[in-house]
Amino acid sequence: MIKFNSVTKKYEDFIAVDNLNLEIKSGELCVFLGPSGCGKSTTLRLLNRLLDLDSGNITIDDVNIGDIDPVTLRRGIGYVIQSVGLLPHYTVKENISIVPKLLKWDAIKIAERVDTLLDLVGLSPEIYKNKYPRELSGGEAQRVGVARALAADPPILLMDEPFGAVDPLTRDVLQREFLRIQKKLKKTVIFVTHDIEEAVKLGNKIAVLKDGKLIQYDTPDRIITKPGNSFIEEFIGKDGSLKLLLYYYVEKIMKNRIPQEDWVYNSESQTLLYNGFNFCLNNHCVYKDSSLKDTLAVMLKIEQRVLPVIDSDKKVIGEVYLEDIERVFGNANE
Amino acid sequence: MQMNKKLKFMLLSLLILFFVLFIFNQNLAESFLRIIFSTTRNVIHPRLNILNMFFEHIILVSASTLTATLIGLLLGVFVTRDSGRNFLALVESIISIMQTFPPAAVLALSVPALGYGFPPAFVALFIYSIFPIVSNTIAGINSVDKGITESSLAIGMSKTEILFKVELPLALRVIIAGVRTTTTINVGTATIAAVVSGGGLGSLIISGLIDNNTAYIFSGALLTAFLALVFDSCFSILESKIPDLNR
Repeated sequence: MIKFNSVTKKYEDFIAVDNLNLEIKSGELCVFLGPSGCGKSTTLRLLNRLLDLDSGNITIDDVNIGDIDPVTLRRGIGYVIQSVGLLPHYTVKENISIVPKLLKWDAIKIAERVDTLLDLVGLSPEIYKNKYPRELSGGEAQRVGVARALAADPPILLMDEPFGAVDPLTRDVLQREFLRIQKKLKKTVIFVTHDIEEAVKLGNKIAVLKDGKLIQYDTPDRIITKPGNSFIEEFIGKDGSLKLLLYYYVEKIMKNRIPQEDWVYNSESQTLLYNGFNFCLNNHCVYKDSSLKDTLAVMLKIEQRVLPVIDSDKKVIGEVYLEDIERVFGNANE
Repeated sequence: MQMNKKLKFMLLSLLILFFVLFIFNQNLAESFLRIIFSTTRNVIHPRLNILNMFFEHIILVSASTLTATLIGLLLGVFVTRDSGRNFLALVESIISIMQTFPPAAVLALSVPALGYGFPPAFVALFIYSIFPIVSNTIAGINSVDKGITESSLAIGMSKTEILFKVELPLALRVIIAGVRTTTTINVGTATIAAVVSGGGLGSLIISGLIDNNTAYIFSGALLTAFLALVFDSCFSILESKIPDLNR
């Protein structure tokens, strides 16, 4: 558990972080959200002592970080930034090995760890291990960045706009992959972003910051449906309800019980026939981990009130209804 | 392209062969100089040995450049550390002022303190060498992407580990370029050492000036140019072995 107790950081007359009180439970992904200059990155850098705080204290599992040697502290905290910061003269393998090597792991254990991590972030060890950072695309480099941060299996992961510099398509893939990894590893993550959609998609909790102050700290759905003040309301925008749909996944509202014979599969045209409509397998079906926003978009596009949910083998495993999506709003608004 | 490379290599080998013979074989050198200076009585200095002067020159250049590299590197690293950053401006201005002294003046000034011979020559060359090395070390270290040094710090590398594993390897190319410039300039400047009897190929040039013997001046200058070329080529090969990592 990470606790910020009345944390303040000043730069001469400018107050970057103003009396911040915050508690992040272990295994939770907490997003620091806010416009540039709101103090979110500064707060992150106070936690791994890249910066020193002026007053208050931060504890990790009730240990004051001021009492831990900064280098030791940082080796137990993964860190991912937008520019990735891989060492250009090290291979992918050497980059990932940096912290385990500093911690004096033996070579065999490190080599195994590198392979495991590359697999985890979706890069084939055989292909990528010996490449240099300049041979990687932005998305690949960021995956290696995440692998490097996880190398020594730190319980805490700090991510400072990690997906800010990649194209929207790659960003979406990286976000999904990261969620999958986080589900598996259950790290305590602090994720800094100014993108509310990213915050809603990834966060268990969102801390909205402005001018160094914590304005609201709550779950994404409550931030959207019950914004604490007009600033947050403005920040969310008029399409808040659509952003809320990013928070929920098909899995939450899908109906599993389906008579298989209702969906008639046509292998030639790659479609599913249901209720007189041909659902194209590639474009009109959703997955368990598709967001409700995507689901609604497909429904609107093909004017259907129900969509088939398929698994990775393109087998129907359930269906999702428009009424249920509407009900999500109802519940959230209560 | 292939042909061009081959030709270049052959020409270079011939050139090196020529100079090796020139340096080691007095008779051959004499007959070569005779072709150009047919009317001059002595084309080879009766008391100065070409081989000796050549090695004195190499030692003078190497010793001053190596010392300057060592001290320049330390200085450059020091003023880019958190603890030394306050001295950055001071060191830079002192070193650039040192650069503006003419070599002859430095020599003249150091003779009273150090006497004649190798020491004043060494000091003068050292003063000239240190500027490019310090400034290239500073430039090299500052050119390392801040994102890289910062993330290295953030994942738990100590400042020392960052210096040796990140900053210096990434700045190496620029630092070597500084040493290369220094060495090449030093080969030329070292000829002035002869003024304070510091030895080297300058002795030949100076005696040529005194005796009004163009053959001495010519052979001294020729050998100095050859030496500069050799040093420069060595560095060129060295530099090509270091990949440019800063994209």
